[in-house]
Amino acid sequence: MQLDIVVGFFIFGAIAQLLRSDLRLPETLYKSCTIFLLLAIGLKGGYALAQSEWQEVIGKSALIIIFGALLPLLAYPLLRFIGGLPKVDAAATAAHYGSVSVATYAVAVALAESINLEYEPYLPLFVALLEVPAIFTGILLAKPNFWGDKNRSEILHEIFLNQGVVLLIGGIILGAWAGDRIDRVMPFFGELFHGILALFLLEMGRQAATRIDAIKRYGLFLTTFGVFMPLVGAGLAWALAQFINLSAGGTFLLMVLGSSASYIAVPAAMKSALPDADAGLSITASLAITFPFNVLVAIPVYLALAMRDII
Amino acid sequence: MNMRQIIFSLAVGLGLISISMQFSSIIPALNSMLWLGVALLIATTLKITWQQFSPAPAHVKAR
Repeated sequence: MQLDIVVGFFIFGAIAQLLRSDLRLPETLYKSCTIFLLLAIGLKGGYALAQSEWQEVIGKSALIIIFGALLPLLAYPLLRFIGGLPKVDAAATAAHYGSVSVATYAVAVALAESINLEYEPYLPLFVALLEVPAIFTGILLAKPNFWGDKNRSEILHEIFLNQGVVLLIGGIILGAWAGDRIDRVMPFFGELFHGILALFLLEMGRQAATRIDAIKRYGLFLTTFGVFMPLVGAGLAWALAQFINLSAGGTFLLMVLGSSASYIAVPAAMKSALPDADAGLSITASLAITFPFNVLVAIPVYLALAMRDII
Repeated sequence: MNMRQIIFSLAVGLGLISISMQFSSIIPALNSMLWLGVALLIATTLKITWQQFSPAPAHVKAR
């Protein structure tokens, strides 16, 4: 299977960085791309969600939340007892692997749309739902007495009102409320989606390549974990997708969500909740190992696995 | 790299190779995972070799 053009931009960004080019997206443009992608995914999902059966969505959403909360419980023992990481680092990194990466999801959506693979309209809602539960699990693994923490309200604010969750939920609500009026903004959020994603991935490739030295520093275990854990998450997501009867497209996207690791929402939450955790460790694993692994290797495999059901 | 980490890396590498070899005829995209498994095995083997034969003191090797 050929790689999607947007993935080519990721590779281009990484190569430019490895060749020590001064190529760099301005910080504000990179943040703008993030806002655009989150809103575009939310709006499209909200519009489609308005035409879905709510009872069906609520039941499935509950299972998705449980799934997100359980994933760090699988990652934690690996990091703690095989990796030998301190408790707080193992918990923070496990939280990253229970949460999701919107960029990885966007790459998968772009691929699904390029081959006209249909999926359930409530998948963007699952993205928003999967952002949060793992953060709680991670915090509770490191701090079982979290509810007595004096910074609790600040941490809860960071968890529930971080940019990713707000934009996704806001986009979903706007899309569901607007109905057909969404057409007036869709030339921007629809037609430009692939172009903006390409620009975003160019910078992601560059950022991932800057962490090559960090990968060497943290050792081979982290690389192995960064490849193994996504496969575990994707396998469980596949089983869950069969259980809740998702289509091939829905199964593919849920596998990608299970496989991805957060590098925007969770690091911000962990910074306030677990300030002693080594942020570089988690970011290196999720951004420099798991993200490229998903984009370059795993996504085509998940697509092929999910498509086997409809061939 | 301790023994548990070595066994974990070898198991993941071998697992990727065996799954890829078994199913790559049905799912050609698995070929990339095969190479990843091979790379992981080679990297782990090199790491073990380095730990065993490098001139560093024993307590450094054990890390």
